[in-house]
Amino acid sequence: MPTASHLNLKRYRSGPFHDELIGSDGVPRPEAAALMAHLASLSAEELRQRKRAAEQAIKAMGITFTVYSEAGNIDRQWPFDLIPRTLPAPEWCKVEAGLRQRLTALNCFIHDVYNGQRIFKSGIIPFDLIGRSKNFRPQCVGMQPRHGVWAHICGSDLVRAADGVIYVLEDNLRVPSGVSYMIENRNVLKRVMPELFAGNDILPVDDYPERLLATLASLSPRPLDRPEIALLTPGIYNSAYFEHAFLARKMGIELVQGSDLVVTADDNVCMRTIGGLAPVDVIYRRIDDLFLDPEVFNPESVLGVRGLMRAWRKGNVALANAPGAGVADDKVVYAFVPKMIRFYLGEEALLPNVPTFLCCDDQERAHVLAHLPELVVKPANESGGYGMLIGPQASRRDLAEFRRRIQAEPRNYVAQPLLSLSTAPTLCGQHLEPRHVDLRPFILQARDTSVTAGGLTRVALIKGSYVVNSSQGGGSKDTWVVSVPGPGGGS
Amino acid sequence: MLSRVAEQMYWLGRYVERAENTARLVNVSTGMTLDLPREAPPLWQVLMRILGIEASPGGEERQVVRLLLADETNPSSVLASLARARENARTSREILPSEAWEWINNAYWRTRDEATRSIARNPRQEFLQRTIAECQLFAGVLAGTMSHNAAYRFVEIGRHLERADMTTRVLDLGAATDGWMGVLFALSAYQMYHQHIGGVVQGPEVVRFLLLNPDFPRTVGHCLNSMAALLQCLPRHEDPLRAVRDLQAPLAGIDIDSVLRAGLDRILDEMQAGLSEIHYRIEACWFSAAG
Repeated sequence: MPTASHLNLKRYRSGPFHDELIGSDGVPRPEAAALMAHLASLSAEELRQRKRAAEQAIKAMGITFTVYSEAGNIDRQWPFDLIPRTLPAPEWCKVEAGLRQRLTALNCFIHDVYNGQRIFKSGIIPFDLIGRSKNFRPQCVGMQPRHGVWAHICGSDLVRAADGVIYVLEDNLRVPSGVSYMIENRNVLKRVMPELFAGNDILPVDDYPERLLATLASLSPRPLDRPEIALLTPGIYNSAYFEHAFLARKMGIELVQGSDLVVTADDNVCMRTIGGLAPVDVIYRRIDDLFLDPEVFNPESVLGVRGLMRAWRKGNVALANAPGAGVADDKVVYAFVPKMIRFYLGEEALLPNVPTFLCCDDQERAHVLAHLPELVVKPANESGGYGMLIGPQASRRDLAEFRRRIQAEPRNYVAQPLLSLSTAPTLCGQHLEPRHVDLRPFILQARDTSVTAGGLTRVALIKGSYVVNSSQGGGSKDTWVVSVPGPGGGS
Repeated sequence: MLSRVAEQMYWLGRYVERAENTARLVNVSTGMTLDLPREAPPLWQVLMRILGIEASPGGEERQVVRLLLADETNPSSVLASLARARENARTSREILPSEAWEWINNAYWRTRDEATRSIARNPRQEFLQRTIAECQLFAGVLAGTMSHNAAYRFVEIGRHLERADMTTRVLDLGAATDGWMGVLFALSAYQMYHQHIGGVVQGPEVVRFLLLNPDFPRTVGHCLNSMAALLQCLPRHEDPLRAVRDLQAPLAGIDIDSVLRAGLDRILDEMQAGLSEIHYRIEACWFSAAG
């Protein structure tokens, strides 16, 4: 019998928002039932102990992230919420199919942008859009990467709105991060609440590094049993350095910095090793296009490798993601993804987009400017939640500033209605309170396509906040795709 | 393996060993202070000289101990050594077994929390013993769970180089204080010395033992042998190996009595210079000039 010191679920209400675990009647959803029953059996003191244990595990495992503004304290502990977020397996199957479809179409689009431009010639997407895209790379025109795939690793952000529908918010095709936290969240939860896993049928997430390795290996320009693969990091001051080291370690590949690599006179890429120069076949690069090669892009870059683009263009080395793939990672291009799916695959999109107004379109811009206080305005090419305007929460001055920016650079902005993001129970002090969440699954594509089971759930730890980015006060949760026994099946 | 990573591994080995050795030195010095006759040379200043640190004005026990344990700006302090070891481990986590990283990370955080509180004599000993134990634990985790590959060999080369260097400095301390028993304690060598040598602890025998004994793992001779064996497993090792051989040769034919007559300083300086030379050859061969 739960006492006052136990979690009281009766008081838990998510209000107008869809809650991922608890129905509007206050009853846990089937996939969360066993979890919530177990949590209710723990005393507040036990829960506090588990929370402390999780914090200690995170410190001991050195799970950290970096915040750019804090030069003196470069690695901070990862903020983790003990209560997992659940998804029913049948729903996840549909989402997964939608993600596969989406990345397939996006890769067709990128390939088309650099080879033929059929979709523009057909009038589906205006030419102008690419001509002015910051992420279009003329240096990539005519390239034919293996399998016709440019974006091998994609992290798509999904949100569930008040109508219960899961929408795609954006596709990160440049250097998406977060997958290591997805894996480590599971490891932490297994350490501190092992009993949770005994009674639940939860899909594993730890096969990602192996799949990534297979994806990368399949890109090798040389038919070898064990191609030499390296992960290129900007170094320890990068916010995702933890993840770079994590993935390199899990895959058993070299973690290299620009200074470790050299392009030889015959345009091959080599690493500087204790035995001399050693050739590299595939590079999983975690630095942006513009820093890849000072010879072609930013001449000031010390992160990249002089001559890397020469080597790539000659087909001597594979780069993942391919340079130029970011052309599809643009909030204006995003608006056209359902049309791309129709154009390249002859299918209807399985996962809906969030309705998006393009400020470069005169009519849509007029609508945006007239309804600014109700909308969310996003720059086309920023990530990490930077440079956004959330209309309903913005000051008059911010609104005026964005009005000015939109008029000055319409191509650079899109607007969307403010979605009422779903919530999930989150441990706040001694109580569970609803906090807004999103979900970033990771999709791998080369010859084959695979999707993580669930993904990284990010949670806005501040009450009422929609900002889930770890760089701005967000935390994360373990994410469970749960097979729910049908009626009469299981216990 | 990458040259940059090889360098990090090497320094990881050196810094962990340095943290342990500095803790050992402070520990034994604390014990010696209690036993020294009043007119003996001021021990804490001797210690600073031996470690090559500019003596702070006064050289009082608390100041020196703070400098050696808790001062992050002094590169040989326990805290600074562990901070650098942790940083090297953190930036090469893909190379190390994750347990090893967890141990060095824990050791760093504990030291950072406790170092300043452990300067007073009372808590000091327990703090130092834990530090020594944690460094040994780290070495043990590596030996037991890491492939004995090139990365591991670089850690071990760094460890042995640092260890040999510290043994010469501890001998220096012995000569300056005539505290030969303390020297053996500092290196955990007392028991093994008795097994090998027996009898009363005498300066010349301690010097002979700690320079030449091939079996005890903290002697200069043993460290040089280990380094030679490790170097031979690495590619392009000829130049660094020659530097080790150059240092092994004079030790082989050494006459301890005449060395002592000429002053122990001379041979210790020679050893320290030789060890620096090995370091420079390793650096030139694998870290900076590679490729």
